[in-house]
Amino acid sequence: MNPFIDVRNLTKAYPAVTGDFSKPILNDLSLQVSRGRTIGLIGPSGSGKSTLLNLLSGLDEPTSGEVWVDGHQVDQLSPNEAAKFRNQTMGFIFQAHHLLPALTAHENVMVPTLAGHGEAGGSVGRDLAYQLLEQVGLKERASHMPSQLSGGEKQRVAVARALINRPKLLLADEPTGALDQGNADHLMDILLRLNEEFRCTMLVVTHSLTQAKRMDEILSFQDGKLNAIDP
Amino acid sequence: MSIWRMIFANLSYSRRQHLGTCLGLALASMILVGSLTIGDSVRATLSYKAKERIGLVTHVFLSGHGYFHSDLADRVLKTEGFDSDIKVAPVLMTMGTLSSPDGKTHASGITVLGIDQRFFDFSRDSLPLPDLITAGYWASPDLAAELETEVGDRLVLRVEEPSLFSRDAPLSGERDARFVSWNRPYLGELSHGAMGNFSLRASMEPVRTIFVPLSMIQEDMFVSFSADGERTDFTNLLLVGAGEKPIDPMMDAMERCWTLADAGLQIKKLRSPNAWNLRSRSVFLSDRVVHTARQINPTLQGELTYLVNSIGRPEGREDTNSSLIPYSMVTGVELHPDGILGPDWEDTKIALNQWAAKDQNLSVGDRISLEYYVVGERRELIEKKRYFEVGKILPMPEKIPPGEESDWTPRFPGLSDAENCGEWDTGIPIKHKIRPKDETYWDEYRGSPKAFLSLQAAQEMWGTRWGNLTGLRINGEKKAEDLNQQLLNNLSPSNFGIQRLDLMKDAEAAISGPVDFSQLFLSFGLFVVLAGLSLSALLFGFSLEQRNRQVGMLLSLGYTPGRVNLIISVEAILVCLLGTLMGLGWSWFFGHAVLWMLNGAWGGAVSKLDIFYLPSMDSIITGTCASFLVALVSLLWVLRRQLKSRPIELIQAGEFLEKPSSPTKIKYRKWGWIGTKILVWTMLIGTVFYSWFFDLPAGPTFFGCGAMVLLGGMIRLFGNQAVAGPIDIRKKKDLLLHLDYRRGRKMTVVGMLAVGTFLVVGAGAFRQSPPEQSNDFQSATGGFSYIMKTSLPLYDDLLSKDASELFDFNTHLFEDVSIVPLRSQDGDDASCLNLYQSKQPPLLGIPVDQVKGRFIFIDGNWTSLKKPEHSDVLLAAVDQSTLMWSLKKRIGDRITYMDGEGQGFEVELAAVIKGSFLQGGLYISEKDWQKKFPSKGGYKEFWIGGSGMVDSVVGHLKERLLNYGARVQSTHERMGQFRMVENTYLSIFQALGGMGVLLGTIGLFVLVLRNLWERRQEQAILEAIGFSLAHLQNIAMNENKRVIWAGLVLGLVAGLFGLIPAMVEQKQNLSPISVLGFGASLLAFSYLSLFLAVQIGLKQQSFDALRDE
Repeated sequence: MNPFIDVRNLTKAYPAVTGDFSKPILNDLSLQVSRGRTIGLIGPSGSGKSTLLNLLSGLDEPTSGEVWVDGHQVDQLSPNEAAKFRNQTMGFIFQAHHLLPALTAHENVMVPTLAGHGEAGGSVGRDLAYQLLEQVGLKERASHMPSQLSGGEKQRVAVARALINRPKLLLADEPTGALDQGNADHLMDILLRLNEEFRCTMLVVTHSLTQAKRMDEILSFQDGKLNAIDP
Repeated sequence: MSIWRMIFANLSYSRRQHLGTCLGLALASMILVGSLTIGDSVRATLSYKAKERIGLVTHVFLSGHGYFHSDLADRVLKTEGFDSDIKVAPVLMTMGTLSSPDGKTHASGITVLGIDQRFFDFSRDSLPLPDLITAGYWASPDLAAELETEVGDRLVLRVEEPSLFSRDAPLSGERDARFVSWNRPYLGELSHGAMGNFSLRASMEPVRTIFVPLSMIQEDMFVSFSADGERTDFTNLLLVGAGEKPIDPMMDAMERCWTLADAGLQIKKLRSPNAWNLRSRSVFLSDRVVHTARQINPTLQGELTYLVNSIGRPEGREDTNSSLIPYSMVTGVELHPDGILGPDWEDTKIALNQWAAKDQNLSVGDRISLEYYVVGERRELIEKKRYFEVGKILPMPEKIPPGEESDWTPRFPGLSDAENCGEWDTGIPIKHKIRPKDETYWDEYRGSPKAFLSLQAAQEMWGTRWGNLTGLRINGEKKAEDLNQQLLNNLSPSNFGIQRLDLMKDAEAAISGPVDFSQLFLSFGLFVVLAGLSLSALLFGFSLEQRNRQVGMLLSLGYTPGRVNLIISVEAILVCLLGTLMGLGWSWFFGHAVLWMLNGAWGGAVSKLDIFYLPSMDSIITGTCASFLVALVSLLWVLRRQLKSRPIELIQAGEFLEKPSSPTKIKYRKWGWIGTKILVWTMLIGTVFYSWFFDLPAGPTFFGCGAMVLLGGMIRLFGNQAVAGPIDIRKKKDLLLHLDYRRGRKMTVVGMLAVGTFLVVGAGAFRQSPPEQSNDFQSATGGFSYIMKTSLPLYDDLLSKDASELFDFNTHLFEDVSIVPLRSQDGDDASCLNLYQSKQPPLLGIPVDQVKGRFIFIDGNWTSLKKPEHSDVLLAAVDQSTLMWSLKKRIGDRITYMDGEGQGFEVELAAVIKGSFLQGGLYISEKDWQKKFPSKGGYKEFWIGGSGMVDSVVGHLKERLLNYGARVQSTHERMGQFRMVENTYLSIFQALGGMGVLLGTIGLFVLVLRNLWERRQEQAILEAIGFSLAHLQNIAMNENKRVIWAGLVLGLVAGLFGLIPAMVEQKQNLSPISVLGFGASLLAFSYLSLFLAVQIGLKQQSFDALRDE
């Protein structure tokens, strides 16, 4: 059976100000992830964890190599195809919540349903958004604006938003990075619970080994290379 | 939730940022819509004034020089089948002077309209109209205001008594003009609703018209027009109100009703049996009438009768008067077998009647001399002499009963009606003594010729441009009747100088005047529009930058770039719509404010026209749509830049996203910049050379050169950064100074300040004061100091001895003074003072020899007016402003005019005079003018200059020529009027340029505030490590003050560079004080703006920002 994620000889380097390409941040990296697995990505700052997530989601382009997700070569998709693929296949959680300040928590959750690739935020989406907010413990805060929510609450809204389109792949880039320990643990609980419910494949970038250990696998980044660590 | 909810939520959330954007767009929209509505208002006002001026008159039939019977109007109305809805009214139009008996009130150059009650049929309002039974005067509103006379006060109106034919012609009567005057009460003002502003010409000049009862004026003016003085119902204007109906039936009726009497022709039954004679009231038959009559009947015999000074023996005449016969009629006759001289008469022979032969004791074969006057230029009488051999002695003529005339002699004014020789008033000096027997001859034989000669010889001596025959003789009543009918069939009213003017159509056409105020304000306000759009784009850009993460997030959630674009575009559309609608509302205020200025301080631009605000729906819709589109394009342009970034860049950098260019891009861009630099420098050098070598007007040169310098400067400032890549930190003198922070934004503000400075300086520099009076021939005044115009024509050379005697001039004053007289045919003023479009400017006949070497010509010179021998096209000189702005024509273009006989002819624009007081008309050679308008005599315009006592001469002329309605204006004042128009335009330009500069300073304020906000974390860190707030404020001031200086210096350099050509030729009026003043004001205002922004942006410690970090 083909792996759900198949990264082949992936290299990513950013141009330096001199115009030359500096030392690559990801160097000839290969990785296979089976469907439904949860992966914790750890490593020092600048080791390429977030870059890998960006490349997997098509938000960034590799310097060389191939990225396959669910049978699609992501790096070969056009911007519109990549957008559609992201919308229908992936959920993304950033370190910062990036909620739209003009919309309520409920509306923020519904935003991915309005991307125009499928059924736009109808009653099903509305109900699912409520349901997700309930599942992240924010049913009472549905009509609140982001400015009225705490940091942990905002991030939980972001989790609900990432799951609204029932993604097959959930990418979380330091989702608890801006939270205190209590909130971080609470968020991770929710994330794992929902992931189990939605049966997603999940890659979580974190600096916390403790949190990483809650995943099926841990991959450690070092000098652009990836090493597996037993959880 | 829907996309719309997201859009409206974003709009609501970003309302503060969008408000700034909206204000900028509203400003641009205000200028765009407002400019169009100003143009509408000017046009609507002109239209209203035009309708007020002409009432319901759609056409007029105007006799260029002669008069027709006023009952023509009745005859036309009574024509079978004539549409009774068409109104027709006769009006007599002439010029005159009005004064109070005590001389305290005096108005010259006024139009006198003789009207009857039918005139008021053309009134648009049903006001109580004045009755014309009372013999008195009504004045137009403008004249009434000028006169300041109480109703009931008596006023003396003086007009020239019309002559039967041109007073330039020989034997036209007394040399001095005859005046007819009335002392009548002033009855009040004729309101504009009652046709009080009626005028044939679309002009901005006040309508100075006095209205008098037609019958009153006719009775006194035309006494001399008929032998018995009984028929005086002459007029020269028919008003027609055809409404929407075609004018053709009116034309047909005119043709049918037209009589020979209307044309001043008569087929007179002679005293000889069975003989008739075609004669003209104007004495000489025009060539066209003769030609037509001869085509109708080739057997007509022409004759030319003339008054000679003497007939006598050639020898010994000086000793005694008895050797000559003084003042006799001599007739040239066509040779004919049945004629008085027979078919073989030689041109060297003369036939005397018995009385003359006996008086001089002459017999066949003797030699005699004829002395006679011919009229040279300006009525100079030149005495000529010709010798003849007596070839025949004719029997005595029949005695003429009282009240009758000789068959050979037409009715000469001042002669035919004289009781005795002492009453003769022929316009020639009587230098020979009239003997008793001459009186006896006059008593018994009146003007019977004493001698006959061949027509050929007579025409060689006495032929004139007015005609070569005084009669055409025909034998047989039937033939005479046929001739009468055929002449009517073959000669239309237009052949006698009756012109049809489509008054309504012309008035409507004139409304789209030479200056389109919509375009004017659009072009003047373009910079403000661009500044407003730039400001909006800047603010919208800030707003988008703040939302970079949001956009990146949407992209990461699977929104396609197109969908994100759509969401923000819809937002932009709504912002544009709101801004445009705000601008639409503001345009009402802008329109009113500008009209208020135009009706006040800027009145010079509209010749003091009182404009009312009346926008059209078309303009509002067009302006609003255009504003919306322009606004949208500018915002979408900003949006386009943002969507070029990748999602992850947007998310990571947020509002601080500033993409460094890739090396490849920098490389390509470098070449692009080099190419652009080369192009700009080439264009700059090209513009300089082109403008200097081809002597372009100062305006285009200024804009051409200045724009290139501006562009070059901006490239220098902006281009270096674009191609240089990151700054080498090792070369920075002050590590805390981020001079290049957001340089693109700064360049927008630099551009606004630079362009604004450039325009304000330029507009100030081109402000011109009128030239001082000087004798410099090569100047705008041509060395003339004054222009004198008269209501009534003067026929003589004012520097001649005859004129001195006639007007009792003090000749000592006239030394070293030159006076150039001009003949003039009325037309629409084509100077910049007239907002109406001139169709046919006044045509002036200029004595070319007297103005050679005067004025500065851009194209051709005065000799260019000499037309090729056989060409029918006349050549004219025209002022540059009239050519370019009023007529919108080019050299070589032609304008069609009608000559004195109603025939069209073309005038080609052959020479162009540089900015002079000659604006408004076309100048052709006097000789050409006379050929086209032979019946119009005299001069009504004079240019006066010289090194003598010009001021005294002018005062003297005004006094001596008071009865002729002489009014004088200095060329300095005239030029001042023109310059005031230009200067007012410059003031408007400057005001709008100033508004642009103001926007630039607002832009600076916003920019600084924004940059400080973006760098609040940097500030917080600096504060945290011990920098004082004052120190940081100082750094911020230093970082941004360069924007002000860059804008100011670049604008000034560009402006001064553009002005170099004008400064070299001393065509501009650049005042260093005003430039320094403006620079200082701009600096002060900009520094204030910067100071406020820094104070507001850095007023608190920003440790919150650190916490975010």
